[in-house]
Amino acid sequence: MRFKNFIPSFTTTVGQYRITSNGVRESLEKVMVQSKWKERRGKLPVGHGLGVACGFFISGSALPIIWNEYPQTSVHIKLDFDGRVLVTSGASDIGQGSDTMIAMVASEILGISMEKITVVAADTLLTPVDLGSYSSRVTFMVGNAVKMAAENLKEKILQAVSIRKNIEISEIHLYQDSVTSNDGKVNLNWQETVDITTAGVGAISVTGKYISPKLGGNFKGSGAGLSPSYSFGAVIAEVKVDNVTGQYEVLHLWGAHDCGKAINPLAVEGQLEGSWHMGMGQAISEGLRYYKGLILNPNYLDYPVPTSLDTPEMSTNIIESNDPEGPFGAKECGEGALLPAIPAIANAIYNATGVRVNELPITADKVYFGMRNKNNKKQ
Amino acid sequence: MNYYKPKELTEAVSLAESANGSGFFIAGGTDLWVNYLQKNTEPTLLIDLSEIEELKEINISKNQIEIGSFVTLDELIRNPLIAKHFPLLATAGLSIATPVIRKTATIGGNLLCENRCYYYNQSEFWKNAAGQCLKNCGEICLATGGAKGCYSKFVSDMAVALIAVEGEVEIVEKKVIHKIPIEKIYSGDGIKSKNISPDAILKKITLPVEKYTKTYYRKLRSRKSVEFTSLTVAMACDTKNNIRISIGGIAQKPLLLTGDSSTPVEEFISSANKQSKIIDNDLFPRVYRKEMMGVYIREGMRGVGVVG
Repeated sequence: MRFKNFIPSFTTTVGQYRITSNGVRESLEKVMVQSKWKERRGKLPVGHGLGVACGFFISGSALPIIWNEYPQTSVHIKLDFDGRVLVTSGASDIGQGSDTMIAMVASEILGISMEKITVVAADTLLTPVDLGSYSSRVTFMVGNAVKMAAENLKEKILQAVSIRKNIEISEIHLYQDSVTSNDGKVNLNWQETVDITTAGVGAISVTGKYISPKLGGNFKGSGAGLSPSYSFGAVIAEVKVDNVTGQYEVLHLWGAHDCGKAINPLAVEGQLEGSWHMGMGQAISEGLRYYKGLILNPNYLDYPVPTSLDTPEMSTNIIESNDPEGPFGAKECGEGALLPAIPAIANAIYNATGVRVNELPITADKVYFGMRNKNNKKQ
Repeated sequence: MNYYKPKELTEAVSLAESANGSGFFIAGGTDLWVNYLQKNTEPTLLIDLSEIEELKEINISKNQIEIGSFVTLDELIRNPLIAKHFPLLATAGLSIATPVIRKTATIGGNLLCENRCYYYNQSEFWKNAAGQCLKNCGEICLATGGAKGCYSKFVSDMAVALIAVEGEVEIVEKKVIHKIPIEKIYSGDGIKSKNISPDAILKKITLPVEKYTKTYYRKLRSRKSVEFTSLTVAMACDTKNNIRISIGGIAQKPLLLTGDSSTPVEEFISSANKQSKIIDNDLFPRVYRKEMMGVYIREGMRGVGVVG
């Protein structure tokens, strides 16, 4: 059923969302094969259940929350006499690895090693404005801005070398900390290249920015959920439910997520597993309680985030679809992966018990009373 | 606030007596310290028991085992004597807190840890905003909305396990040593939950060896670690088929039900239901905890070999 409803890549939806790359089919196929869905679903021992869900998410909102005409982000790069490349960006690295991503993108464009690059981020005194680490936008938008800034710097470097060495720009390349020409006559190391570039002008400063293309339909409400590109993913969960108490355990999560291109695969894996774990927490135990407007469980003892003991084995699959809009094809891999984890677990519980819990978190008591109501109806 | 670290038990007792009831013993401090930070306890004198060696021993004689009150939960779980004679205690110990906390928390401290409630174990800021509950010198119980009494929940899992296997404690109170069954320490009053005076020291726990051969333990909680109990049921059956069921997390004190293999399981369950005082001050709703109490008792009866 899901396969029939999937839309292909490069389409526009009824709601006028422009879909670029779309790896949802590959994601679902991957987790179905890995979890042996077809062989095992419906043939599991009593109390066991398998559930599946798919999800998609924006790679940054196309429209800023507070309307303005500034770019959604800008990035400055400065090349100094001593060969240091300083990248400044307002993006806040909240653990997702955006500082590393910035250095990797700049390093790839400039053809220099990451040690030569210093990233200064999220210092309002020193860095240009970025809208913030939310809406899964940083790799996509800041990455694109870094790419643009680095390309601007690369052009200045190649221009300077081209004039000094009297050679066409199309004949020279920045690669592995050096500038070389196709005929091999020019072979400059990084410091020599920097000397030529900065001679007579001093340090070079360039800027890059990202502005989302104009998107969306011509009707009221069409602005919601617009994004220059969307990530896709699928999760299959296996649970084991105690039919007497309603208590259950998530045994395994198989997940696949189309993140466009994984610029930093290790960080992507971390993000995906973190997202699935967070989704699982929301599904099985996390919930705020209130007393007269005050939070009743404002601490990690009473707000039960799953511990390592509660975390199942996860099978992590990165699906690469190389999106034309993202930096080197990258899309988001943060919030989007979280979404299918929750309904996959709810579906697995339904598969195991026939009980549909419509309220999160799905605690043991809800499953228990659900099973009891179901049995009472039968009699 | 003064802090002392005596090396002798007698010195600790005299220090405590000098504080006229506002002295606190630190037996690990994992419970005391949190309550202190939340302004639930305001000691004028702290007496750290960590250097009194005689409180740290585990000894076995012909028919009883003695566990010093300052034995940490971690030491208890790892002790070969405990593993051999009281796997129930090792299981219970493993269900408490986290590996790191268990290295600090002691068995005596666990037995005497304070009752808990959603509306009591909150920051000072929270309690000032919500209003103080009965246990904190307020006028109504925030959990029930009434003023009849405090329903703070008894949470020591170790006590529940020890009561099931007929554990007793040796207490030094007013320089006199006396021995009482563990369940007698608890008053059933949510506000002042212990029967013993604040300057009494719990010296050791004694248990009969080779008496309770079949045991059962189960704790209800929403995750596998870092969780106070929502319901703990421990059960033990001796060689003459006498059964002791001990239940925690469902009243201001642990319940003890006794009978034998001929006692119908329904009798145990209805007696537990009558004596429990479950209210909605827990992650799990009241009705679910009550239902599970029955389920666990039934399961436990099968676990100790009595078909229920």
